[in-house]
Amino acid sequence: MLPAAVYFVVTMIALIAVLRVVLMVLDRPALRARLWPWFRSRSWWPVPAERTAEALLRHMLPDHDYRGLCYNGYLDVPSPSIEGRTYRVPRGPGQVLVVESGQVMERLCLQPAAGGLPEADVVLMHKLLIESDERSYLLTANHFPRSIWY
Amino acid sequence: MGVLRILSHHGDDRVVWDQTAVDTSTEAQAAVREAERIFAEQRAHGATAVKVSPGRPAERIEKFDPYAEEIVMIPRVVGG
Repeated sequence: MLPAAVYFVVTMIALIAVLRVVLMVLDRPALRARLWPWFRSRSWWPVPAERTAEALLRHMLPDHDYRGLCYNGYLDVPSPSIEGRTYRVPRGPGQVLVVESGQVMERLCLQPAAGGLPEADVVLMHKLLIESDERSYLLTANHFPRSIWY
Repeated sequence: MGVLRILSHHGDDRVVWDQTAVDTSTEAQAAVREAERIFAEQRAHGATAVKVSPGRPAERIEKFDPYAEEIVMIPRVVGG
């Protein structure tokens, strides 16, 4: 007979392993982008700011754009002034990709000065700024060359 | 209804007024004055004001428009 302590340790190791696998699966971008908006739009979600922001984003985006964002984890915003250019805005952390003819040309980084905006508000912020004043958006953002793996 | 939305860490704060009664109702005028005050305050802090209408691209505005359907105030942004 094994002592109870050994059973306890084995059980804990198994639980930690299962938890790690669950967290790894949840952290996959494609799943993360679909799961979290769903959680945030539930009435029981404990962070009202995120629930409100998610509702506003859903209200502001056309249906196909919102579905695309939930499916892909990013929102494509066409450039109002440069034909063939799209700004790929990620939901969550990451830089905005400038895509031209399917090729990533550069990466942009722009964020609220004060911080603390819910993720959904940040997506909306990028979309509205690009649509309303692309030139200022580009002047304010920091530009980075594309990564070698794009 | 006209709506002024302020993106913030609360999600969004909003002021609503009846844009069809701006010239006639004192209640609507009071709401517009409040929205105008918040608009000016946010602009002074570096916020960008964007007018949004369904089916049309967002439009940056410098002055408060009481007849706008929806105005979104975006807090000051910086390069990251």
